[in-house]
Amino acid sequence: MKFTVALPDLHKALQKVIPAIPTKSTIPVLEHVHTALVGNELKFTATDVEITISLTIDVVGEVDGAVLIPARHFNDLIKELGNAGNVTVSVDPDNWLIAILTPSGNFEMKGLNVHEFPNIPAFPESVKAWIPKDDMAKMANKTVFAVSTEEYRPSMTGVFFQFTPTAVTSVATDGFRLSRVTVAAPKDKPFPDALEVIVPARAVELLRKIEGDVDLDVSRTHARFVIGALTLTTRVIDEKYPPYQNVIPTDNDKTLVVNQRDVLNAIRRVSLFANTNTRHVRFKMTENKLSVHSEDEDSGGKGTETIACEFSAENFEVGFNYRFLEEAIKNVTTDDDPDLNVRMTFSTPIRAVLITPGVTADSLLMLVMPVKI
Amino acid sequence: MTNHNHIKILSEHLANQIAAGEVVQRPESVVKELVENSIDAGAKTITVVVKEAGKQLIHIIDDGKGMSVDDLELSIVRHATSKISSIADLHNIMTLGFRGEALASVAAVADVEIRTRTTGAETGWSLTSQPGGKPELKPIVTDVGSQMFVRNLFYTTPARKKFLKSDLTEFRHISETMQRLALGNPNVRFVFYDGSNIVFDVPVAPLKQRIADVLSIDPSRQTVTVSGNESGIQISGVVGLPSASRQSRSGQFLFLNGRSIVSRSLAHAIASSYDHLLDNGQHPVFVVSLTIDPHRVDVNVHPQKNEVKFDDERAAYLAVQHAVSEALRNASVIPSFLGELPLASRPLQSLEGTIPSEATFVNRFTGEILTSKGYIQQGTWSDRKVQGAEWSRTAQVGIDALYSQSDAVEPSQVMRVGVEYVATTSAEGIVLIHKRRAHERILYERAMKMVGGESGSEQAILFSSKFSLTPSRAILLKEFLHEFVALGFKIEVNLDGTVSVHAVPTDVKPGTEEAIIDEILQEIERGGSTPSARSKEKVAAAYASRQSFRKGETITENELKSLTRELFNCSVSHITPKGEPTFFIIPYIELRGRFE
Repeated sequence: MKFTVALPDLHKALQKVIPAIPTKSTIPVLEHVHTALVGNELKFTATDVEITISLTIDVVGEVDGAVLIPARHFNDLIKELGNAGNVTVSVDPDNWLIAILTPSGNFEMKGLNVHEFPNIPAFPESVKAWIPKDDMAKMANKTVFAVSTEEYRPSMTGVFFQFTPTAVTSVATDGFRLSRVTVAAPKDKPFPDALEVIVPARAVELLRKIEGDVDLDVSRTHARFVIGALTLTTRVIDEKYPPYQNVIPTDNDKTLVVNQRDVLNAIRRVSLFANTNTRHVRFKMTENKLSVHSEDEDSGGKGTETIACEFSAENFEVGFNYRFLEEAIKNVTTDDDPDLNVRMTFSTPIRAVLITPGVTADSLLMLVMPVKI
Repeated sequence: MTNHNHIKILSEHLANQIAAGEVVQRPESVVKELVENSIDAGAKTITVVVKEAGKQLIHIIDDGKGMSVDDLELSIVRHATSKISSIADLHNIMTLGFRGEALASVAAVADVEIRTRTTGAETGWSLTSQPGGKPELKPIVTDVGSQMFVRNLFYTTPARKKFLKSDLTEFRHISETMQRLALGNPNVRFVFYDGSNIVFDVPVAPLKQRIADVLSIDPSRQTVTVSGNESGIQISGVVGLPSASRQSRSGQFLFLNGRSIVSRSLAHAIASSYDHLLDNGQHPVFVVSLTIDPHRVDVNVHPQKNEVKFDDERAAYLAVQHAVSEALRNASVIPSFLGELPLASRPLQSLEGTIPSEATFVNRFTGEILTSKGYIQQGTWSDRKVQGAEWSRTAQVGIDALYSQSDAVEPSQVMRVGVEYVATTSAEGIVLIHKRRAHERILYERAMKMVGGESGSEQAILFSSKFSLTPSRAILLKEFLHEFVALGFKIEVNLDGTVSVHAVPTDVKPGTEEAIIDEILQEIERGGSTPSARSKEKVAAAYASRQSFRKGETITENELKSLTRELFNCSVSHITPKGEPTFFIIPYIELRGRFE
């Protein structure tokens, strides 16, 4: 195998496949990237068994072939070489020695026979959907923070995608807060009906920065996202997602409208004075004033900020875990517009608080469970 | 043939035999009475030999003042005693024996031989007596002091002999009594033999050392000195740290005016001071003596003389409880991080590793190095000027350690050690903290605050979980519902035994509600029944134990720091609620020693 490739192309390609390389694996072969050359197409494949990423790039091919390259080691070298010039990689199929010729030097590393790489089975029978780039990125960005990191409820460790012909809803929750993002189906390409899938958070994380529209295939066990030359395949979480619709309140009777940036800044400053274990912050609302308050009995510190708001009731007080609250408010809008408002609705101090963008649009919705202080 | 006169006056001998039963119930009573006599006689060394658990022979040798021939003759006569002569004396009893019953009682049920000589007397005398027979006196050659031989105990009263337990049990009783006597009289050397085997030989020593010798516990690491003076009751002694506690009450000894006593009330007072420091079924070890005006106690309640009555039982209870609580609180040897409060309150710090008798101290304000000898000779610390040559190298190490980090206000560097430990440094040395146990202690104190009234905050959950418990656990949950609620749980126990959870304490991870509640209940169950007053501690301890870090759970650097800080802010930081140590210190001096 022998090929020549421009450094920036190679660097970029490796950055995209590296996330599938396990940091420490009990199967050393997985720390390698499967590299195969056919003509002028070089295909990288990396897997940690749960997630598989493959990416094809154009190179100048000389001799076809395939090899397993120690991924991190190779990536470290390519990173250090900067962005100018080409590298030529050639592999001796007798001993799998990889020779790398760079603009200013030559390096050798030991590769492995591709037969040692786990077999990646062909993708089975599947249901397909096409999702525009921005919609996919929005769903990934606005949900993944709320996913549970605890293994106790496996269904909550992923993002739930629920398709109807006209829209897809993505939901994430850890039991204390919930994020729901809905996007409409493209006009000419309706979604499949009744398709539901829970995608592990790690895979969703990789979908936040994608460079193209997504062709999604979902089988009983796996989901595959094809974005141009990149294919991300992941195991799906085969569990029943909790009945999230039931917990979204419909009868919250008190409404607060407040500038997003103001309230976030207030929370950030005040929370510096909150107890680091309990992370409590308290909202106290009157008709046109919201006071954000925190105090820590252990250290004796406390802080209060008061900002202007519109509140539909007379007096109301409610407590939160500031981290949940901040993340929810931060993620409720897509643009960073300084004049943007958020709308929060309440019923009692122990019922779910609903957070939506100031303008009525139900495409984005956050739920935060309060803390009774 | 009829004889209507059934009622007869008992012969004196028979009356003695009956009365003797009150004093001499078993071989142990003989040992106790006779050794107490020896102590009253001012003995400095008392040797006790028993054979066949005392049934065959009890032999006591003392070096006390001995008896004159006249005293000797009277000694086995009932109510003959050298210790009281009037009613007034009876109220001022400071000696151990006083009724004059002991020897007479023993002589009524066993063969007794006494050999004795007083200081200055040329010859000693021996007295041999058999139950019912006339005692025989003859001059002999013997050391100053007394020797008692009690042989064939109860051979004339087969019924009583039948009531004796196995040799093993009887010997255990004797052994306990010997321990009690040894603990009560650290100024007397006791040598105790079982046949020809030595059981113990404890030299004259300070109480702490005596306790260590008798109970085989490490005096410096496992005990705390107790002292107090309240309501005219002087309390002194030593109590064991939770790590020295036992499964039985075998390590508990109480003394009143030098006499060993049994008092359920005072034992309870001490145990209650341990509060939550001990697990159920664990009993503290203690040796506590009370000194009180003899007028205020009645020791004549029981011939065994080990039950007492105080004029004010409650005052005695409280005094003991306070003294022990105080001692235990002070025992939580918090490492002193410079700049913190303990510095101000403990200006003098002993430098570890120095010989106890010549302990070296450093005055942490002035940097003066002082030895206890110097202190004792000069009277005050400031009298002693430190001169270069006198700075022991030991002290120098300590002082370097102290001032090398003079601007540290708290454990500044915290380091992970393996997966289970955290290391930091203090003025004394390297502090090694057991991560999980430290966390358990912190959570426990936090939980105690909550169940103590400062209710915890409830984090409401989106998907309330519903599950069922076994009927017995459901009942238990109802019983402790108040405590669960205080911790921050919002729980409904339904009639069919199912449980719904709507809110959890903030540090409970979602999805774990069922497991946590069940495990806390399990832990409560395991502890057995406790008085309702302890239910708070119980739930708090179970919660802490459940929520503390799992083995191998990794935490961030900042969390390690706050863990360390919080641990040393705990009211009791050195042990977990179960009594396991949370940290220990490797003193600088020890490190230095290792590098030599």
